[in-house]
Amino acid sequence: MLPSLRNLKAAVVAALVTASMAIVPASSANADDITLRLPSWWFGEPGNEVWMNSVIEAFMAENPGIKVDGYNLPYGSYADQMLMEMSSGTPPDVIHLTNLNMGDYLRNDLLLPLDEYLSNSDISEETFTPAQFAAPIVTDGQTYGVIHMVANYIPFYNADLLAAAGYEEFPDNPADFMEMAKALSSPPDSFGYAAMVKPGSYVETYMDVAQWVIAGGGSFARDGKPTINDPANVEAIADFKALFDAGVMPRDVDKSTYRQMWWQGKVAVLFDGSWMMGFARQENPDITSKLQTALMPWPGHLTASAFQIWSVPRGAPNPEAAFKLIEFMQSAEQQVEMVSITNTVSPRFGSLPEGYLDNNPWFNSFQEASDKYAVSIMPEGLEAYGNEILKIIADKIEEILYRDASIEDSLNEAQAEVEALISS
Amino acid sequence: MRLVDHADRQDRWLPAIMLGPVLVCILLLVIAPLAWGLRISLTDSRMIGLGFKDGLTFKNYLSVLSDPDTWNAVWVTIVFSGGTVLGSVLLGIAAALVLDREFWGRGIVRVLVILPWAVPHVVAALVWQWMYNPDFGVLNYGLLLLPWIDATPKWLSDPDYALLAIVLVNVWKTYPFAVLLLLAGLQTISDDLYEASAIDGAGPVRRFFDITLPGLRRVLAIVVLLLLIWSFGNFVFIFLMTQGGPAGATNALVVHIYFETFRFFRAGSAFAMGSLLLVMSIILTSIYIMILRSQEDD
Repeated sequence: MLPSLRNLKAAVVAALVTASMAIVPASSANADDITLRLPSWWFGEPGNEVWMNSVIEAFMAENPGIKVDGYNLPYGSYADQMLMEMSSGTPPDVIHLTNLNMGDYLRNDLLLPLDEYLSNSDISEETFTPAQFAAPIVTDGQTYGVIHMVANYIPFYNADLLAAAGYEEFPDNPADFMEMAKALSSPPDSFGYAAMVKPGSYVETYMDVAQWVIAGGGSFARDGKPTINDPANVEAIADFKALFDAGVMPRDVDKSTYRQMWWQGKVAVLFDGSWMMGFARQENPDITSKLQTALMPWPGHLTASAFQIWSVPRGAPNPEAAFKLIEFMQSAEQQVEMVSITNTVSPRFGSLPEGYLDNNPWFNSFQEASDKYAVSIMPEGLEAYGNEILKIIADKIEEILYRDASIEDSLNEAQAEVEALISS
Repeated sequence: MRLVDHADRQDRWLPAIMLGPVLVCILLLVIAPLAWGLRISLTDSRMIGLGFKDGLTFKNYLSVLSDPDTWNAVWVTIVFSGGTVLGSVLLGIAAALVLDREFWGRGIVRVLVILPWAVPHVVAALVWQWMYNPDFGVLNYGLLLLPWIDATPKWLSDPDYALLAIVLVNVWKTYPFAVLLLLAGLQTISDDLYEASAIDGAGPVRRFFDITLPGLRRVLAIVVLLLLIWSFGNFVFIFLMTQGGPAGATNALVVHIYFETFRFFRAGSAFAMGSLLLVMSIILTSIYIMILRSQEDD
């Protein structure tokens, strides 16, 4: 028997009323409380999460009316999630960027200038690394972020493995380094060196090859003009390919896997950041006494540097409170804590804890590289084109590595593609 | 009279009330996003916004259609989908024929055959990625045990093998679906036909081509079309295993669209590519509907 129309109408009305109640926002316990949303991959990384949680706790203790909802958003899905949130008009209060992708956000006018807040802070050329006052953080005369951590990529090696192969000192030139890497390799049990050569990971592939290019005195751009086919780049990539063809690097493994292989003693050398010691301490404390660092084994020791940056998105619900959090995280006291807990390089001068270098002699190379040899890993002056340029270069590198394409021809093609991109 | 009037009113309004929510959902979740995507594809939009403020232009379509990377992506999509369908159908027919017979342990074999279908895509991608690893993978290890093999491919990092490797994974994942449908189709073929042909002296091969295949024709058409449609939009395996590399060898259209949108912030051209993919899918769907209708007519 069919329900009567009257009963049906009543059911529809009841459903609509129920549905409308579901969209009435719940009232908060205290209408004056601000809750800042801070997604970051640091919440999911060993050591880094400890500092993040402690700095948030300290901030909330000092600012009773501000709550911080810090949560893990893995690096691999960070950009996707941020794009969706910004597109839908619900950005977080603080966003975690790098100098590799900041240009994409700036080009789409997604970030809030912070000069108004910075003028009342102690972040200045006297207290912060010069990169804080250069592109892409400063674009068109406005500042769009605060550097949160400096990443210098230098050799981090297992001294015991080197010694077992007869190497008491780390090589100081690329030819000797390559010979050593080959001597230390016995795949699949051990590898002399690891880099991101897994297909399709264009950002990481670019970063690892750029370390060789920069160390060799090359550059993918100078003063905003592409120099991708520079002879120094050709030579550096030729060396990288020679090592790749020699079977020195584990293939088809992602960065987290070969880092794991490194702290398990299966990879002798990485060019990686200081945070690796924190990872090793957590994952395999027994190996940490064997780990040492060196400057890049090229004349000049030029070192590729990336920066991790805190920014405030346009449309962030609480920009003033968001900058307050950033300022707190980057304060002198908290930066000392950050270095102590995460073993990362701070952008703020004088952030080394007392006695830190004596207790962590391996950190000396990172500090020296940061002070004397750091070169931005992004093509100079082309930061605004971010991911597109990285993809063009990385695609050609993949053709060189996997299709044995001519290095000169591939870099010439990349040069032409980038020139077409920036002129369009 | 009053009862008849009441029943008439119900007959007029009841279908509309019943279908209304579904139509609203289709409008909100299918038609509106499609229209919105089409609008974005005709703008210079870089973000996934509403696009109402942007002027209309065909620039994205011209750029997409003249970009060699787009045609490489189309080619990869066609090869990936075609390879998946061919492999799944061939394997599906073979497995269905075996499972159609009575033998000891048939139930267990059926479960094992269906198992890949039950494995989540992400899990399958990660496991197969390791199986394909040239240094640590079980596949190359097994191949090297064979006496006539002394070198193994690099699989996912070899442009000549990467697409094949991913097609094989997709075939492994989708052939159980083909088995299920084809096995059901085999049940509809009368045993009398096989008996009669056996009496006439037809061998197994002749019976397969003259009785089995024609009897499975409509089921095969549905299997082929559904697998094609699903393969066109298959993102997980390619993205997780190679992200379109090495050197663009596995850069299918869906992956290309993903990078255009989420990495390069070029929503306009990404949606233009999406329209291209939609047109390809619509053509296939239309064929599917025509076949369904011909089945109903029969």
